[in-house]
Amino acid sequence: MSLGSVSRYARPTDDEITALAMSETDHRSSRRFEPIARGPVFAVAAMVAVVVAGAPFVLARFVKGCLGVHGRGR
Amino acid sequence: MPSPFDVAIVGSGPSGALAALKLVDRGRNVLLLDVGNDDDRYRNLIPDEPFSQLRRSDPEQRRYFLGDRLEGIPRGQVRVGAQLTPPRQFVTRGVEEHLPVSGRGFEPMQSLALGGLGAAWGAASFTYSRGELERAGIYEPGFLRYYEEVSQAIGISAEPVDDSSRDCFSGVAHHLPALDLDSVATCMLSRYHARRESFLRDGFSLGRTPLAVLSRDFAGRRANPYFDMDFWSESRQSVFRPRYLIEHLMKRPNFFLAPGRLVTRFEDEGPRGVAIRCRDLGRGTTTSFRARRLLLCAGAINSARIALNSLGLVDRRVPILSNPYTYVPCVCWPILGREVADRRHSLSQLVAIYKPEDAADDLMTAQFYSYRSLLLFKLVKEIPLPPWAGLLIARLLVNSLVIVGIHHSDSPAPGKNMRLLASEEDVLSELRFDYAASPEEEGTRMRREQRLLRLFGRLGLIPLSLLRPGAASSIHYAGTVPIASGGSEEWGAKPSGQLLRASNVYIGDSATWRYLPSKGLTFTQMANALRVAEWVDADLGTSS
Repeated sequence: MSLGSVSRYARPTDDEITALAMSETDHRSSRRFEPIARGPVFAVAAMVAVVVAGAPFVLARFVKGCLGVHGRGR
Repeated sequence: MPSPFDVAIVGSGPSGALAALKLVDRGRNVLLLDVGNDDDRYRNLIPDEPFSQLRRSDPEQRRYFLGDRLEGIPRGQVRVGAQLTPPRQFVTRGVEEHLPVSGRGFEPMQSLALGGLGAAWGAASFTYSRGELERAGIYEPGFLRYYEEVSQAIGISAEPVDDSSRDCFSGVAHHLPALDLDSVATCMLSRYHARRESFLRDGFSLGRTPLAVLSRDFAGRRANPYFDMDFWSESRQSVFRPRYLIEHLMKRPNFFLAPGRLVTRFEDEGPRGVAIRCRDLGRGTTTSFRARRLLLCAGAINSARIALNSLGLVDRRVPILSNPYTYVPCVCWPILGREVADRRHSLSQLVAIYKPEDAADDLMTAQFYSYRSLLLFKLVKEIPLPPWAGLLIARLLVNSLVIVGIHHSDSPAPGKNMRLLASEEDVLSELRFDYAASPEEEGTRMRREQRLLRLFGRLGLIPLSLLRPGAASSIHYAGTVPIASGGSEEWGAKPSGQLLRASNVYIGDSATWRYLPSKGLTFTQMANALRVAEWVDADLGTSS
């Protein structure tokens, strides 16, 4: 198990990215995609929290990827 | 149309456009042969407004940001050409069918567009030093005047007293004032100036990137509006494209454009001139033209392909050069979490020149881009987290994100070559590439990159990863028809650009260069095209 393989399986699928791109280019939802600028402390704290919250997802995707369950389209 | 023409030029890219301008100015009847694909879908669709405003208000934005066929969403692994936005993708249209390539480790970007690869050029405009021009084999006393002429023709905005300008924009007197920097670049430059002496001692200098982008209105084109839409729209024509020169030349009585033509071969007929055979891609027929001289400006790969096909040199291995390229997404930590100004252009903000201790005459260059207008989903695609988490991270980082593109120089080596697999009358056959740097070369590059990354740290940059997309990804190619060393070579060109085995045929692009400096090559390609055009004009003599 390497960091590279975890990263490869954990990244969003093409379908997920397509859905995100469609949402990002809808002017009615554009605020959800604007930069967040609330100071450096907030930025660091928020990123740590997001990474911790996303960790179970990363692990689940990696396991599914190794078992060949998770079709990545990559 | 006159026949024969004085000069037929193949290719409407930066070299072809500038060579045509020179020869038309000298009163020659010039025929430009080109496929000339163009954007017929998006150009008139994009409002002339700032990126941030379009994102909030334009209900049609999906059409140009993602494309009508969603071609702006990169699928699978990132490949060469993935950086082209939907309005720029016409640049590579038709290439797979008409300019086939294969091989290991080399995936070049080619173009059949009006303006060639210049239609998607990043506009960074660097001069080569005399030493670099000599190593490339194209130096002539007074070469600087060709740079001056190009600058006056296309409009370049530059800061001539920057530290980096000494090495990358030296001696060009005619230019426009530099463009304004964005918030991130301003921060990096101020950190550089605070430690300037130390950076210079380490062989590192930083300054504004000279850009073929207008900071003031110029020759019917308008100044850049700082809308951050330069990857998408051709707003006000502020970023130079060869198409603008071609459109200007179309008004001249001695210039003729033959669009839709794929040149496949030539036949040098001595005193009778040269016959040029083309495929008319619109009608599916074959046509021929005659000219007294032929000037190949189809790019290093395809000028060589046409010459190899014409001379029947099948399976002949010829060299190929391409700047090794690494890109490094970084966070500028002093900006992290802060507001930045919306007013900005999208192109390279700063350029660093690094002279490694072990080879001070073999520079490395790094260009610094901010990311704001490339849409967040492309970032999220690379973040190993669920989309909601990746999106939050991207929103927190995007203001401080810097993409650094590092280029190395390239020299010929036995493992870097290409060959034509067949010679045919009316098609251009497949080129097979075999490009591999030696382990020593790779090792040297990586060591130098590590040193450069440490210097980036002193500018406030934290590298997030180091990405090497593979050979050919720099989209800088050269050296396929090298200037001969004066021996008994049968393949190559004379210093004037004249092909060794076809005296009516010249090469006006980077195919003839024996060395490829690390700096972007387009500005020097244009200067060299003017130089070769003067040789062609002199060869034609006073009769017309």
